Amino acid sequence: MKKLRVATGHLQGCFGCHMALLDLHEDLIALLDSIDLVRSPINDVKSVPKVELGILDGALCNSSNLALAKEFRKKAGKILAFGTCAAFGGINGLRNLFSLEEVLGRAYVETESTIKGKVPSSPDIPGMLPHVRAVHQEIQVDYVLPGCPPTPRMIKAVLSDIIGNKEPDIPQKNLCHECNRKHKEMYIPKREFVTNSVHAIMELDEIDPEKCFLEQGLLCMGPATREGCEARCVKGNVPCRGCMGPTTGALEQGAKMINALASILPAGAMMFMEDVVGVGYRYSLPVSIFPYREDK
Amino acid sequence: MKRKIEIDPLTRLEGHGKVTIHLDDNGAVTDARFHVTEFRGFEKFCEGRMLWDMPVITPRICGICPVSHHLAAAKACDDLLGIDIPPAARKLRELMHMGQIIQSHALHFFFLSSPDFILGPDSNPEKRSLIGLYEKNPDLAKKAIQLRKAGQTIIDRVGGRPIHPVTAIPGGMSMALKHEDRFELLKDAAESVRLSEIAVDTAYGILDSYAKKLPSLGNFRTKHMGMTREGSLEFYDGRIMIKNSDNRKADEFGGRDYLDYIAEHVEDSTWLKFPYYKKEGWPKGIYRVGPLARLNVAEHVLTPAAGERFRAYRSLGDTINENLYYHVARTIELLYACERAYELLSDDEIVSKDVRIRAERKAGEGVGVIEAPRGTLIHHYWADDDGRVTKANFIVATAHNNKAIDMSVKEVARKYVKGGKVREGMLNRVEMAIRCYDPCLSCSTHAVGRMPLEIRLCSAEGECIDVLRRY
Repeated sequence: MKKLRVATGHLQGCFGCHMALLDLHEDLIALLDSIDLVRSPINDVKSVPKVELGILDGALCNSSNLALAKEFRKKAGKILAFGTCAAFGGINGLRNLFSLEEVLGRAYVETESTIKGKVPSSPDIPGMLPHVRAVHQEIQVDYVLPGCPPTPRMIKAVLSDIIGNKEPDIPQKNLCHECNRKHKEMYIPKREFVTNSVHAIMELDEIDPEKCFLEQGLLCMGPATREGCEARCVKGNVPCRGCMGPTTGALEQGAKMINALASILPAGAMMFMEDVVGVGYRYSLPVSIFPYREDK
Repeated sequence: MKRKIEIDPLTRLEGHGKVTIHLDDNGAVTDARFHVTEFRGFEKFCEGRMLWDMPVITPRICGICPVSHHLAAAKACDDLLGIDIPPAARKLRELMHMGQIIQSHALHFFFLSSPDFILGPDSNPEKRSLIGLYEKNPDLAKKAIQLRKAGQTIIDRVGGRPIHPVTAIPGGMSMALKHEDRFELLKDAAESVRLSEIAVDTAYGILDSYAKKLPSLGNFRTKHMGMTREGSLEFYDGRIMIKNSDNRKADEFGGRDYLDYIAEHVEDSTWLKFPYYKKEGWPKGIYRVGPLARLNVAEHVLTPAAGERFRAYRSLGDTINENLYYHVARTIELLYACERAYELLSDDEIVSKDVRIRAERKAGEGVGVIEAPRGTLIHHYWADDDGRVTKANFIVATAHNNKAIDMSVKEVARKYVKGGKVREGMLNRVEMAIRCYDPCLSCSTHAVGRMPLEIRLCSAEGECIDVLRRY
């Protein structure tokens, strides 16, 4: 069988998506029978070989990320946005809440451990983009595989679809669909539910492993988040924080969450007692309808 | 005419990096710089987040050692809230962290570094990777995969997910370990101890066969810093020890006081800051961290097999300053982590249901320090009455080694650049010198393929005179 020529490239992120690829463990060797990994991972090399599939993880944060993404688009037949940073900008996107000046000033001048700091500005390092962007906002993307990082099971399924020349099929519904926790109270409007409900996880007497987190008064992003992650966090007894990004067709994740809360209980307020933006848009701010703060 | 050699792109450190080597009029090396070309901004965008979300946000700093960030964050929260977590929670966190040390050290030694040694530093770069290792020695490659998988499985069962775990929360853990998982992990751990003994032997074998061919990957005197617990090697909770290059103790402190002992210097040409020992100032106060440093500052290693290996290792000298020994030290730590995981899993308290105490939000300041695979990791948060983070500061493990990496590159470059000419073999020697430290950048280089490299020999005006390329 002819092997699929593949290159992978890392833009800006934590490298966890490439680690997730290694988490295929023994299956990695089998995968290498059907793909020819001509380069992986790539940094900001000017020339990328011609490949049938280019896999990009990470978000676009600086000029060399952007250059690499454009180079990939030229050389690769198809582009897979691999992981939440590539798909939605990911956690890097939270930088868009601040001006570049504020972010750099904090890191290189104000931090308590820094002495005589200054913002690095040598031409030896690439310049920062004013705002973090998802890959599809700059180049055309053919396939998307969200997840922070995607599960090995999803990686295998999507890659084998692409190898078999099929359109990859990723789950469409929200996490509540995949989550086995029980709920009943939230459908009964009652005042106590609102007033007693907003907690930090550490403030609960018991973290009930069976009961819906929203019913326990914890903000859980399940209703606004795509399924497919195997509900690992909620099985680990902590609420979802939305790292799979919005569901198909949702205009944006944060507003969808407020909408969901408002429709299931009189507690849209829940969102406002916490960190609205930092939870609702933690992984998808660059693709929201308010993608960054407008500087004065 | 002053000239500059650029290696660009070198590789990645939680992102991207490159090297420039500066030459004088006679073409001799005068300086070498390692540039980290990535910046993400966690110090700023953590402001406004809720304190208890920090253990979930900060693992995204690094996908290779997410557990270390997860736990440093949880410890900083505990410190801020003034909580002593239950003993079972402490054991579970340490166990999760041993999973991290196993996966990260196995990844680095087998997947990233050993292809240089087992296949040879001048072997075909296309094959110099796990894939090449698999072709040459499938048995060893399978062991490597098995060992890394054992580490990831511990993290998954204790932390809820293998990458970016979630179960450490302020006050302890969100869930107890299941009995069936304990026994599965215990079985794995026994096997991992056996596999990591092979890793130590392999590392020593490499050292013997390369002692002549590869005399040094950086041998210079610096301080060494790492966590110890009553003098013993410790990764989860202890005091930070700084020793001089002759093994005399320079200082010792608790994590909470780090600002009195560590300061950071900024250079124009890299996004990575340069921490140093504050009392001696910059640049005199530089030190190394990570496996080499930890085994230099520790006086004992408490598990049986790793303890024995440690004594043999330390009989080589009071303080080991040669970077090639990072690899041996790393495998001894790998063995320790496997043995320690076995010990923790053998303790019945590991399945105790008493894994958290309730805590309430409050204003304050907290520091969490942990030994990440690559060295000491510090998280420092300030929060207001609502539990909102008002400020955050991070000193990540690889940063401590920033200056030492420059020094290694310079030392290697001096051997391989003569009269302005670059000798063949320099590309990978520079990589190998950097790879000793296992900065996250090495992941990019061999993880599942090869690292493209380009060295440019440029005049001071920027005119390209010569290019050496390897794709």
